[in-house]
Amino acid sequence: MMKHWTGTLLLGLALATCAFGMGDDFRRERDGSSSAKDVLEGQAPPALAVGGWMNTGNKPLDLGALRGKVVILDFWGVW
Amino acid sequence: MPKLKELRARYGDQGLVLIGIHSTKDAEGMQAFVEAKGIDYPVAIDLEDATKRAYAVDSYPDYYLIDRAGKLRVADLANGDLERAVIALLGEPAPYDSPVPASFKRAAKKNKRVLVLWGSAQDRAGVDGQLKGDLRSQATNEYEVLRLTRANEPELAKRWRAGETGLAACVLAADGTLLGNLAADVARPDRLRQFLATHQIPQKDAEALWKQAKQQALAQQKNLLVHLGAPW
Repeated sequence: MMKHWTGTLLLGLALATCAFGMGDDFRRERDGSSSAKDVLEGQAPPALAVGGWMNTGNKPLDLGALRGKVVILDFWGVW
Repeated sequence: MPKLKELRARYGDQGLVLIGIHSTKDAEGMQAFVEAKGIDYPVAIDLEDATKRAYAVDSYPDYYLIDRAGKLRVADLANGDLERAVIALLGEPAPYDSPVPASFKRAAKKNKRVLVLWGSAQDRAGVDGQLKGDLRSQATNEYEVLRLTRANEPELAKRWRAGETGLAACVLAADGTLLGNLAADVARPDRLRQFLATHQIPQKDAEALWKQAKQQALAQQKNLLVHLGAPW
């Protein structure tokens, strides 16, 4: 929980507003060193190492089969 | 989650796809949550945090965007820019996957030649209108038919002498050898019919084959097995 002003300041810094990546101006969430995420951009997405697919008729989903679409990968859950 | 469903409702028919990747931790809770919230897009469970590591995910929820060409364009997008980024990426054209290599492969396999119809979709609507009835059968039985635009295949248009604009047709052997071209006359059924007939793979003369086979069988005191087939 962010109780002190320093916490709020750090949160603000964490949400960097610089634009980069293929000339777009979408803001990314970055705090501190962000090279791990930056190098991923512009590349083929890493393979999904997942199981227990739901809402796919029990078939695994292949990112390659989604060519032509715009895909949002939503990482969620419990940290 | 609600925000994502809104985006999907608004942009789903333009090609927006959602995929949820649930943390390895508390995975047992995912199914109940998905059902309770009525989440109907594909979701899966990260195996031993492997995907989280591969994508350098450092908090939940994190959004990553893949463009129409299959590239990861944005790693960990700020929530507030989600819709704007989606609109921008949807505005980009889908990649062109050339039908040419597969066509030549099929032509080689089926012992056919390749018929290319050049022109915009509008030009070709005219030609496809001509390809009716027996002319259509002639084209599809004897050839692998490719419909190409000069914009998508500028190299081939040059190499195969398709000209600059308007309707054109050419025939190629399965090995890529250019055998013939037809320009404006493509729109005339009689000329097109003649062109197709001239360049299709010559059929062996059935009469001559039959005569030859009978003579051979007689000479060798063998019986003759006749196999009648259709080209399709």
